[in-house]
Amino acid sequence: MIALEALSRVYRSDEVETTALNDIDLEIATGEFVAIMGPSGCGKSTLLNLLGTIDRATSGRYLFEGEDITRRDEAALARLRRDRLGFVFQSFNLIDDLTIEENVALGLAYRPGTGRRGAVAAAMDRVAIGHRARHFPHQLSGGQQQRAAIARAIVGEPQLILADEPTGNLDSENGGQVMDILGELNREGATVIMVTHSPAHADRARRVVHMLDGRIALSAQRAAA
Amino acid sequence: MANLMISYWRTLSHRPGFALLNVGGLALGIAVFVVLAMFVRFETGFDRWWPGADQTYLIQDHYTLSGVPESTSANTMGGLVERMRADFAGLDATFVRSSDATLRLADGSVVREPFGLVDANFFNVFDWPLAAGSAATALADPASLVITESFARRYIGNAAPLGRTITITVEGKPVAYRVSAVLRDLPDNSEFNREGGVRLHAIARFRYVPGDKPNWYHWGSEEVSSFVRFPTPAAARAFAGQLKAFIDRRGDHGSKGEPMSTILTQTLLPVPAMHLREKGDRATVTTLGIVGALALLIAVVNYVNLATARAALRAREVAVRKALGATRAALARQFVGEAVLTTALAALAGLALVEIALPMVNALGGTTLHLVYLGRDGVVLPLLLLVAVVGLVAGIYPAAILSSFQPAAVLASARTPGGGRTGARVREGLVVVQFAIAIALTIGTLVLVAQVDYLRSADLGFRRDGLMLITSFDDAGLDGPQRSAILARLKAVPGVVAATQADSGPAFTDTSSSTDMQRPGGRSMTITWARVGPDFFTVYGARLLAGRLPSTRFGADESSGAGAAERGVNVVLNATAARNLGFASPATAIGGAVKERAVNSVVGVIADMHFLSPREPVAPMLYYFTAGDMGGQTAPVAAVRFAGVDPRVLTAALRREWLGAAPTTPFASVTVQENLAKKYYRADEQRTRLFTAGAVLAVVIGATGLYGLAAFDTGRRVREIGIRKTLGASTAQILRLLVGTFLRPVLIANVVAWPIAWVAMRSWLAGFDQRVDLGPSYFLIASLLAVAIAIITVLGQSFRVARSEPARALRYE
Ligand SMILES: Nc1ncnc2c1ncn2[C@@H]1O[C@H](COP(=O)(O)OP(=O)(O)O)[C@@H](O)[C@H]1O
Ligand SMILES: [Mg+2]
Repeated sequence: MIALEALSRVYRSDEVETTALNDIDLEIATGEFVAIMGPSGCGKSTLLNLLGTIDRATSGRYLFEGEDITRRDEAALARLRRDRLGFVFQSFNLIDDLTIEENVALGLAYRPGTGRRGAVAAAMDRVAIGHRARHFPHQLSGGQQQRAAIARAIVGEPQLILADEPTGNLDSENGGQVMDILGELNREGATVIMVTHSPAHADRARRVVHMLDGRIALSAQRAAA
Repeated sequence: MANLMISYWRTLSHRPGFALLNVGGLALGIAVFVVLAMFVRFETGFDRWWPGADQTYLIQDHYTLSGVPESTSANTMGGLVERMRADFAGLDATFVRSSDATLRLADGSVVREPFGLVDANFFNVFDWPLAAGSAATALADPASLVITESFARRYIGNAAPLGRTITITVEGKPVAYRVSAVLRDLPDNSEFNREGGVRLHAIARFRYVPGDKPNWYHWGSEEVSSFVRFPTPAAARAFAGQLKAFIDRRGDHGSKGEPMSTILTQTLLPVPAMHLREKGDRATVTTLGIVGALALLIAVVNYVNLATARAALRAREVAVRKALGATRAALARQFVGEAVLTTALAALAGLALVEIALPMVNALGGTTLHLVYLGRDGVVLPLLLLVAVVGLVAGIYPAAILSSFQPAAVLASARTPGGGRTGARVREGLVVVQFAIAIALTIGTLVLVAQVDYLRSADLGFRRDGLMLITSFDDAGLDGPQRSAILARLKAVPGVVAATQADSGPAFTDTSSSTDMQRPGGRSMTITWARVGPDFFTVYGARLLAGRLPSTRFGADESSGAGAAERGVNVVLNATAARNLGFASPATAIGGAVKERAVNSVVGVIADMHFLSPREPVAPMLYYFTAGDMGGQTAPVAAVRFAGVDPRVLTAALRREWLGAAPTTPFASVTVQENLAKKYYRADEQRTRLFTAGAVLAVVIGATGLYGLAAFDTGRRVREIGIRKTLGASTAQILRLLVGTFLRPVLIANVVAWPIAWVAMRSWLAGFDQRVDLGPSYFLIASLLAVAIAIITVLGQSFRVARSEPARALRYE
């Protein structure tokens, strides 16, 4: 589904030049559940952002389903995100001024077409957050907020789910719930790429990619359980 | 206090853009407010400069005559004061007859100067400050002359003026006057010191010679301005209450035996109110004051909006301060203190702007405003008050919002409070207010500009270009045969196509006569009449609606000469007169009879010629034709139709020819365009320019506020934008969202502004007889403009953010 070829990302500010990703080659097949691990600052989020097309590589190629999308224009990438990708962040990134229901609906807001109400309700029910539909994010616990964020990510039935430390701000019980949901989505066919610091959570993935200093140190495929 | 200053300075220097917006917008608002307040103060401060000003009243005549619109006149018959004194013992009254005088200078040239002929009691009513001489004896002698300091400097030089003799020709008679007193120069804001109007730079006693002025005791004549003075308003009211009986006792109307008071009432107008007495003047000045206040209001709203928007960013600071033990009162003090400091800074900058802008404002508005800092008219004290009030008003709401945050909630939550949805709603409401004002002002500007433009080009019923008025033609020093001789010589000047003389001319008000006329058996009505010479109608380019123009070829057209007045002659009517007299159409009027003293016959009807104020409807006119000399009681004006010559060159040539024919009478001329502009258009044009400047700046201030608000809003929403883009929103969709947030209040503002502007402009336009239609285009253009400004302003802010990679936005905190 995804192939990265010699992908690099360099941040330049006035004085410093940080190579966040250095010549990454990576292939991910449809239906995989990949965990990315590595010390803080090694480039995990940068990699996920590039995979999610919300950042641009400095050099290298990004093939999505065989098509090179590295030089695609803004609008095409926005359509790609809208139709095929779902994001889950460590800090939830819900919009403060919108209710949970409105936040979830945002996952469909930029698509043409109708039938939203049912899909939004279904997504909320799926992560057991329906009873909080009319609340604002700050009225919810971290676990509830993250479940809402997942509902927003999946309401559009994405093929690829990108999760950047989705359990990083949660206690183990809530973290476990989030992992259950991600696992279920993967079983239903979605490709999941997740950054995590927790070896236990990484265990749920079929493959674990270890990163160090902007490079892939080790990519370990686990035998099917 | 020192702490406050330090922390305030940090805020300013850390966010220079914010400081510039905040202080700059407020400074601009204060500058607009100060300038327009100065204008209002100047305009409403006329003639309060001597102690007795508010005890002194002008007597106004109000005539209600059939067939003509009700009219109010600042002039009365000459003998009014004399009659009043006879009936009211001890009455303090006087009159002023403003006239022109001719001075012969040492080099033999002659100049025309405005001159005041007054009643001997003048200085008892007007106790104006004298530089030399005594008020009691200043007018004791009929040959006494009182002049101002600048008049003395101009015509006497540096020598002591008292006792000097100056020979001045007034109303045709040369008099050797002796200077008996010197007046201090009259201030700019005086109705007695008006360029091109009444100007009392030289004053002497009026001498009534029986037979010389047969209209002197004629009710309805307008020979002088009459004034009375009372120690208390109650005394003035008591006097005014007796005027009806006085008019009926003394009035000489009554041809049908009705009391004079049925057609004439008299009222007392306080002298300080004389300046803005014309219809619409006071409203216009008030409107300009309101524009200034609104500009300031918009600026204050900006401050409040930016301050509360910024409250979000400062919530953490406040929470920490509270956690450290700051009380609500201390915090409120801090924020109000900041607002007052900002306003003070803005006031300083505003004053600098006023100083820089005043020369331009004066040029635009035809004013002579200047900043006075200290003293009674000083700007410093009111400005300090303004700083305190604006500072308080602008600081209290943000202070209340900020100091009411619960520290625990703010510190615990990652969320920025920003007043939440309520805060956003208040800000939106304030943007609605700002833009409603801005849009209404824009509509006003468009209508004002369209109307004053229209006045310059409207069809007046005559061709206003290529016409020169010889205004010195009515000089009392000239008699009929002299005028005819002069006119003949002027016709020979190269470039002159034709010339004529008449009692009537564009913006020429020195001569005007009206009389009751009627169709035999019909209703009597007041009609204005004028004698017109050959070529009058062709020189002006009048449009003949029916019949023919008068000519020397028809003996019965001639109205002067033996027996003509008794026999009846052929006359021309304007369309209004024909209509008022009851003729169904111009054509049916031809051959009709109109009775004045004798029965005249109508030979022609012309389209109305708008010679006078565009605010007044055209009076019904009847024209008597004469090929003879025009002398006698009323004095004509000459008009020259020219072509192929520069007006200045023509003026010089006309002057040479004039002085050859009448060397002792100064020459004065003016193009018809200029005469109309000077008397009727310029004041409106100047006020329109001030209004436009104020309105444009108000819009600019509103736009800076929106810009600042958009900057903060966009800044606050960077993360939200990142999230939305991550979810697949395109740049265009994000821009639509951001612009839409601000467009909504702007669109609502239209709904608020339209009816207000419609009512206001309709009533302003109603003051004009000739006016533009209040069509929808003004409203649409203003709204489009406001929407465009809002979009551009917000786009300038959001474009960068909307385009940037979402990953960067998501890292933003
Ligand atoms: N916008 C940015 N500007 C500059 N440097 C950045 C930016 N984003 C990330 N970096 C740097 O790139 C490196 C990788 O960051 P990141 O991908 O966030 O690491 P991780 O998610 O593995 O903790 C770090 O050194 C970080 O400081
Ligand atoms: Mg990271």
